[in-house]
Amino acid sequence: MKKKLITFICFSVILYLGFLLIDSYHPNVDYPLKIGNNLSTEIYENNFVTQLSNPVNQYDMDIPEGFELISENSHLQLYLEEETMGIIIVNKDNGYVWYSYDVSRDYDQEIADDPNKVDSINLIKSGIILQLYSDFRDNVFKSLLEENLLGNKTVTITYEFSQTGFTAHIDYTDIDIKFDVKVNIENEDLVIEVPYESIDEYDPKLGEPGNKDVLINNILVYPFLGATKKEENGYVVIPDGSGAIVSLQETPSYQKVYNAPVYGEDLGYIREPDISMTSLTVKPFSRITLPIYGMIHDVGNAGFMVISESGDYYATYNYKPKVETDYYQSYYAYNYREEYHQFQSRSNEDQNIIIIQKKLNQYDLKQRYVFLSQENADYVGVAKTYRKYLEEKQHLNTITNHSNYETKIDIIGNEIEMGILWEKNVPTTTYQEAIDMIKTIKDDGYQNLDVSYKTFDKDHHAYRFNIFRHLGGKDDFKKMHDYLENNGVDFHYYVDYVKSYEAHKYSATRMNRKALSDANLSYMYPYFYVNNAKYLPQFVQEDYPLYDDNGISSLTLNGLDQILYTHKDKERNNHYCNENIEYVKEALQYLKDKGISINSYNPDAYLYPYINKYYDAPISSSGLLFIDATIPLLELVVSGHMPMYSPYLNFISSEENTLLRLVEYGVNPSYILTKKNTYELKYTNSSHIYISQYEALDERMKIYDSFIKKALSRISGVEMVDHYFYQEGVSVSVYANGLKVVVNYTDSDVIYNGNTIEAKGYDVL
Amino acid sequence: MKKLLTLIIMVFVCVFTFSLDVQATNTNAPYYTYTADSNGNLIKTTEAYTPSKQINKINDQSFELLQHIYVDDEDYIYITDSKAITYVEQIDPETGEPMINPNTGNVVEKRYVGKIIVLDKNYQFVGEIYHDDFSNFITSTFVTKDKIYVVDLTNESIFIFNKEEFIENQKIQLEQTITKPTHPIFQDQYNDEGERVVNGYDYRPEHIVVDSMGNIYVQGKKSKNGLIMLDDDGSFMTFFGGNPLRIPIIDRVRRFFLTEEQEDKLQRETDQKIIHDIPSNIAIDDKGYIYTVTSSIPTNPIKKFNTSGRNFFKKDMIGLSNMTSIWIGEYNNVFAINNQGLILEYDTNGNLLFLFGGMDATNSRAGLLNLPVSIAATSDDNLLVADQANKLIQVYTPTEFTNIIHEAFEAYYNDGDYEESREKWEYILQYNSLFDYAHIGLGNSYMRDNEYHDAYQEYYYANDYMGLSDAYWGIRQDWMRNNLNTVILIIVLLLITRVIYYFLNKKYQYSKSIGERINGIRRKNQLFDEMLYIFRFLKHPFDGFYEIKRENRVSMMTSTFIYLLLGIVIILNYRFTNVVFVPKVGINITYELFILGFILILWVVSNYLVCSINDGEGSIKNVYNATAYSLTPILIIMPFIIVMSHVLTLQEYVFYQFGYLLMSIWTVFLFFFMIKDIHNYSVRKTIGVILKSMFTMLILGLFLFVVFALGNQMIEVVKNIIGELINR
Repeated sequence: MKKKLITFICFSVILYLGFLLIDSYHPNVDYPLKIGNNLSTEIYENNFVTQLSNPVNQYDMDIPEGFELISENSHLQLYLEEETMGIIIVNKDNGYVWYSYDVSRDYDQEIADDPNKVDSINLIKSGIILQLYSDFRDNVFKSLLEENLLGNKTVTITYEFSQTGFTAHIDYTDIDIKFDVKVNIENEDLVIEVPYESIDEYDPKLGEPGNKDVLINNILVYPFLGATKKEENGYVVIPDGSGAIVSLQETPSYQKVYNAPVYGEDLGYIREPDISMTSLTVKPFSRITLPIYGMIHDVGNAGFMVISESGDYYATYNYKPKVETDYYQSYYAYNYREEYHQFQSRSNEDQNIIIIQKKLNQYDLKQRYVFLSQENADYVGVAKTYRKYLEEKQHLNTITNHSNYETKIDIIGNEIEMGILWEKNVPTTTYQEAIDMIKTIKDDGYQNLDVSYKTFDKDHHAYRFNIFRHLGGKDDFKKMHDYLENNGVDFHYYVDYVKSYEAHKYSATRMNRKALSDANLSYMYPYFYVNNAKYLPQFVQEDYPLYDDNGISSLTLNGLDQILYTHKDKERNNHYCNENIEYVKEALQYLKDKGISINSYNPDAYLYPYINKYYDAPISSSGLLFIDATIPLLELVVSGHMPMYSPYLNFISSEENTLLRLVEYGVNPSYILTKKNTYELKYTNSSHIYISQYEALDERMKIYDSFIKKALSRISGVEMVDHYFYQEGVSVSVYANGLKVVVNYTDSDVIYNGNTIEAKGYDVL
Repeated sequence: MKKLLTLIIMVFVCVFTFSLDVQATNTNAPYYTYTADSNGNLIKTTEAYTPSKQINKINDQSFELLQHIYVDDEDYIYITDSKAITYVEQIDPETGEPMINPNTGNVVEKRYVGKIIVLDKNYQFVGEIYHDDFSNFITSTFVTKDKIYVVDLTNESIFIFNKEEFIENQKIQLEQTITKPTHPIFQDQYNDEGERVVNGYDYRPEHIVVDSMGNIYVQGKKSKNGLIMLDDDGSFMTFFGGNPLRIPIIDRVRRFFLTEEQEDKLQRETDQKIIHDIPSNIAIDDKGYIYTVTSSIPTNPIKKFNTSGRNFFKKDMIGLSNMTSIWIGEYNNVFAINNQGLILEYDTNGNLLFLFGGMDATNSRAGLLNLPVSIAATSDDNLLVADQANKLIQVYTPTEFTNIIHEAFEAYYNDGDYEESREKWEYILQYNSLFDYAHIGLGNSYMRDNEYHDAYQEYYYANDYMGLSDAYWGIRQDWMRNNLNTVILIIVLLLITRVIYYFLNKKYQYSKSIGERINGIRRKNQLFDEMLYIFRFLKHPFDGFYEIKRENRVSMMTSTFIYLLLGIVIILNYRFTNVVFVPKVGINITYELFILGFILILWVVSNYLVCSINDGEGSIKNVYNATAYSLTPILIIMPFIIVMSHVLTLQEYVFYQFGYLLMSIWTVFLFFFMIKDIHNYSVRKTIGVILKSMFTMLILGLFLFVVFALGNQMIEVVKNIIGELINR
């Protein structure tokens, strides 16, 4: 018996020692960079050149018959054509006249020649276009000029005039819909409003079985205002990504339309997340984060910009280059109602019907046109006008305009993967390792660091704040916190109150009453779920004591780009984007009041009042074929108020162009790092990250740093006051401190004002 | 085949000044790029190719219907457009002047449909090939050193032009026309009444390759037997590289039961159901390997054949459905494209290197495609893709990252320069730490330098088990060399301890006192006692069965504990066995344990049920307990195997296997006699009962499955009804 016991004990000991041996064996391999000590590059082509000296013009343009002066102030005149609700705005600064449709054509003659064109001409002339949901009408676009078979107008418009403009009561008598449109001039601006209260779908049988319901889908206000066939020296300013411009040539180089929802897609309406091969490989378009666009007819002379003041969260930006009509068009369509797929079977997802949302989206539509003249009439003017608008509304934090070159580092502390039995934590950078890593980074010469620490919290199935024992526990956390604070590192904790990776009681539901989710496509979780916005203030309040206890005074918030959605609650009531915005603001205001500063990734414009640092600043547009140049529209608005940081440079392939872009736009570099090998992330929720270990990245970071330091140390954080394209592939950014950064993307040296700018290089003048 | 020398047509010298509509874009590609790890999972990576140029017009003429794109050894680009129209001024052969129509006074022009447009490597226009004999459906080209082959689908012909004359002098000189082979298999057969009795084999050439001997491999549009191999005269030689037939499984089962006569009867019916996987494109590399791609096979669409028709690519290579075109690159890497706009690159062994691209119906971003039909690459790895729907050629340029990967493969496989390749692998890892091929490459070069620890780490990252095993062998070798003395010393010390213990024990009777103490615990603690009983049971199994059955020697609690321990041992096996023997990726242990537990319960129940109607003597408790004890060899041996796995490499796999074999035989032996003794059966009856029990398990399992499935629906129905009631 004892023999057996001894055998058993010996055996156990051997087993134990064996396990120890196996587990301790993890040599680390460091890769020295022996070759390729230079930056990879690619062809860069940008055909757009700014014409630097435009003569200042005065215009003498006609006001056609039928238009009557309604209102006038020291800057503008407003004319109205009552039949079409067409308007004309005269910019008194230089006499430039803006028509709400092309008045030079003889429409009566055209209709006489070809009666079939009447519908399309009506749409062009009509001040308001109503896009409808209707199952018996083919033409879902409805103009104000429509007639029934007897030749009677089906729309009645009654006007009320005031000092500053007019209010039109529009009644579509054949489809039983009415609403008011207010058009007023305020100083240099034209303001158009559609109050929610005035919208009335008054068909008494609406919703009854058998009734052929006609419902509002979109309202388009003056979609042809500023539309043009060709402008010698003009362009459209599109808010895609960092911003882009399209020239108004006689023949567009590509007849491609572009439309994108402001602040991104509304996840509440989607049927189910798209996880097809296409969604895996095709990058989504850049989000539109600024609710503006610009139309410049004559650079340096005439243009206007549009701000969607209210209803921006339901607006879709549209650009049309002579598609369907002969005009370049740029406008917002305001969405009031959408259709969605309602599943009828739990097991068979193919069994579903399309349902049209019953209640209208509840918001007041308000769109502001600012007319630009002289030096303001270009994309810089568009950006600066919007900047001024935000500043006046105190929507931009005022910070001192000093250069602040920082390297941003996101550290992944804890991740999650599927263990043998259940989910397990994967510590990728413990608190102590974070200290060591930051120490090394500082020793490597990075003086100013901005560090966010990110942990996946199993309890919440989300990236939230917690102190983890396996990362070192409370003491180590305090050590890390103190080390970072004492060494001048700007430290934030990364939290995401919006996304969680498992559906739970806080998850919102889509309009089709499934959990509101989208494709995440990490190795660990195929989907993420979006929390109901009404819980955000609660989450924040619950977490605040934790932050307070642990000395967290700054947060990096992510996920806010997903928060604008329309959804249904358990009682089947609709909730709208504007409600969500209020919840977000409440939560952020709470944090702000408690003295916690907030930073965010690619935040939408409505968040600016709460944000201190702008991460993941777009440094390019979506790469659309038809654009003539990518412009720093966003940077012109934001720079000097919030320091901006690039997308992670870990993943760039065209290094020279990207770094030159950082210099051109004045954007700080940014990385995502772990102390442990990137393989640790491979099966986690961060499986899309394929390089993160500092030891593997340090050489590249060093090269990047030395490349951009010369410019960014002097201009980063300073307001960019001007920007232009000096010649093909050469751009000039001018900063408030008087410095000029000339960036040469071409393969040959360029002379700028007597200074030689090296090929694929830049200079600060 | 008779050689035809047709009229030399003067090439109409391009009267337009040359113009090429090329658009270039910049910065980010509109798609993500993926690579595959060694387990075949897709992982994101740095961009491999970025869209650079778009060619959509040549000499102000848009493309009409792009069919094919080809790049020859000198980087001349051949674009096949089957619907392009060319008007050519007719030259009077006598005067050399343009012919004038006497009625209209206009120059007489001839209209050609379909042409090959040739560009040089800088995308500059060289010339166009069109011909009287072209039908309206030329599909592709193939170019050798001195010949340009043009394939015509409708005419079922291959036209061979003189390359030098064309490139140097822009002369279109038709040297030879190869028509449909005269071999009887391609001919329709008629009976005496003139009715067609046998259809000739479908020829329909779409793409061809020509090997160094001048043999032509024709990919026919409907060729069910694979490629059609012709000699240089166009005579039929053989079929080559066909895909195996896919017969629906039900027909295969049916065939098994049918007589020959019935089978013949069914043959016609079955023929229609058979899925013929007809290759959709073909390529050849400089070593003469023939590659085919088949759009209807998603799992291993690309095949690499040697001349005897053996496929060198593995069966489980990563592929997509609807892959329509392939191209062999400079390093014998394989490019392919599917009609969703996805572009794939494989290394020379068929491992996926990159997958990128995608479809964009609006075509508003350069680099996304709409209906790509053909892919080709220049010698500097620029990819050219012909997009039929968008009517353009999209050019993709490799990034620095990709160039280095190509160079690394070149250095490693072709030149055997491990030092150089190591530097390149290290560079690659600075841009993608998860690039398994780089880790394997690095591991291999560490192995050559006998740096086993580093190599082990690299292989470990890449999940390369063969490499791991080799590196482990090296580590073990080193360890042995360094520590042999220590090991021997420890063994000697252990022996001495044993001897000392022996003598001390004799004097002080340790073992007796320990034994008494243990017996004391055994008396107090039933579980402990019954656990130690395992050893007695294993030594004397027949006594053990007797005691379990007659004396109730063990309790059900202990058996349950044993089952739990078995579960733990299985988990330990996954967690701690050397990764060389048990891969650590993609196992769902919970699921596995659940299944094992389920089988165990099924066994106990069905064995009891079967035996109780077969005069078995054992109760269900007996079966439960005895089964547990019969499985104990696993408990004893498995930990040893786990520990042993850390001393072994794949080369000594047989030892590892031996452990398993021993364990299995022991367990099966105990199991068999457990049933025999517990139920008191003869050997023959025991076998019968085991088979019956297994059958019962199967039936029970099926039954439970059905109940479970129905039950789920039942619950759903009840839930729905309740939901309706509450809501109404």
